[in-house]
Amino acid sequence: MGQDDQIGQSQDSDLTSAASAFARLTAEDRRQENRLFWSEIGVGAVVASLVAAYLILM
Amino acid sequence: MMELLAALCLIFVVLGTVPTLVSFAQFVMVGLHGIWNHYPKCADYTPRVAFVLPAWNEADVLGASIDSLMAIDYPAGAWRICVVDDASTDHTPEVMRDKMAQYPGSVFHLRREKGGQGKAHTLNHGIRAILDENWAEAVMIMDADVLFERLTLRRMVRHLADSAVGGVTAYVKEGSTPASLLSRFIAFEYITAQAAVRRAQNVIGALACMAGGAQLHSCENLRAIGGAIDTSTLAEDTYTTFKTQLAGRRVLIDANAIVWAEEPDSVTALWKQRLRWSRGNLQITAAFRHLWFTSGRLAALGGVPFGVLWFSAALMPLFMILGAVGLVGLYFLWAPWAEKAFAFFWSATFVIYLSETLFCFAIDPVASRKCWFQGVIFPGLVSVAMMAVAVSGVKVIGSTDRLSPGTWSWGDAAALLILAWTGLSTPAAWLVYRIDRAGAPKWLRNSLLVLVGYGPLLCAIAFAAIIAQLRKADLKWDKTIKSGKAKIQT
Repeated sequence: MGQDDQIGQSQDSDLTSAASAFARLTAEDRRQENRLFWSEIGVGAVVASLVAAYLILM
Repeated sequence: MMELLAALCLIFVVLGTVPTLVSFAQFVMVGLHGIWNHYPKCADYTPRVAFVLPAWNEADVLGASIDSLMAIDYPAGAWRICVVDDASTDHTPEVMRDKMAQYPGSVFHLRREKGGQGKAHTLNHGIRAILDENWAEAVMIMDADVLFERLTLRRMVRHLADSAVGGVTAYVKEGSTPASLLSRFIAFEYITAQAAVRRAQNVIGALACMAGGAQLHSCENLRAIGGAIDTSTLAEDTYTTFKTQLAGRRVLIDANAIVWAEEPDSVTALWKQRLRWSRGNLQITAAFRHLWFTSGRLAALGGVPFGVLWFSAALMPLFMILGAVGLVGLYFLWAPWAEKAFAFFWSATFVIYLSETLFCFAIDPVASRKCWFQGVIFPGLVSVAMMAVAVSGVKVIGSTDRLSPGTWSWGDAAALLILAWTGLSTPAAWLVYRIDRAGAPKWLRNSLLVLVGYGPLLCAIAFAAIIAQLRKADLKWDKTIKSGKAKIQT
């Protein structure tokens, strides 16, 4: 165990370059942030619709 | 005169909504993090990182933390673990001996023979040794019980590729297994307070606190702020965050970088921990008094948006009490206005509560699946009922214009209780704490907590902190006991 063993693991991961691993991770996280942006728009739309319906019906 | 007093009460009601409105404004900014974030400035950067773990009697949790750190995905040989043992009297030295043998050259044990000065002193002992050695390019300050996911460090260090960034923190998630009602409340609180609010602070450009459980600094930054962290307050992590930003470097959260921690499992332990945090924040409010509302001359920390965020949280109990005083005052002065103000206050609160709760579920759907119920009842069943009453339009307040001493009824007493709830929830939450402290059975504590709410409990702790600071009560470092219940959850 330990970091020496991980040298073996890192040899495997060398097949795909470290740079592309970084790009993949960052792209995944940017997608997540983008998803939150649209989720907020969605939540805002749902709540605004409910408020509008409430104000019309009351 | 009556009109003047009624106007004053109306102003109090509006002030009572300040924390809720500010919280809503923050949540609006969370979505903007999808557009304005630091990812475009990240690069494939893997500096040599030294983890510094302060440990005082942490034998139960240390082994798992070290194992999780040794299992991370990072270039071999580019990270080390330095455990600073604060003169532990348990089996910490034995655990360390085993771990150093298991991970030779990666795990180090620094022992202080005279301990008990608190976490900040312990951390400084390790930070000094790390900076003197000159091996590390970055230092991760953390707690002994914190568990790192495999990619957390990679997610954090990429931001340090931008030399304008001095520090990065992670999203600390509550990982107690099995989870309790209280730990689920904390899990939901962390979605709001960390995954949401700290993203919003990234957008503002000023972060209130890099969580002490995962605080990554470039060594350049640590040296620039004096090579040590503050030992004069109870919130050394917040102090370090402020100093970094005042020294001209950015700090930010990468909320996709996740660590897991065990949080208190009793209201009493939670009270002790949060009282320390709240008092620490009040100390920081005083220590940086020159900073507030200086229109951004002293970094974004001095800007109006951050000042409003900071003070609306620090003074939340006072705002809530003002709101209650306003509603009760109106009831005495002009009952129909009290009814309108009540409907406005709780309807606005309901819309914001609904928006924030739904958005929290979207921010962390995995955690929310486990703590959705605690999210729904976060303000307490009584407050949820208030919102329902306000939105449904049910009349709970009499329509008499003005009360006179001879016209009192039980209905008036009930109306006053309802109107004063925002203020009364604080002493009610304090009672829950006292009942828990007196050793009441868990079912009773949990039932009362559901009724009164976790939000009011936090408000009560903030109020207790204000009182303690005004009384100049003793400041001492009370360690939160960890039992090793935290697990990395996927």
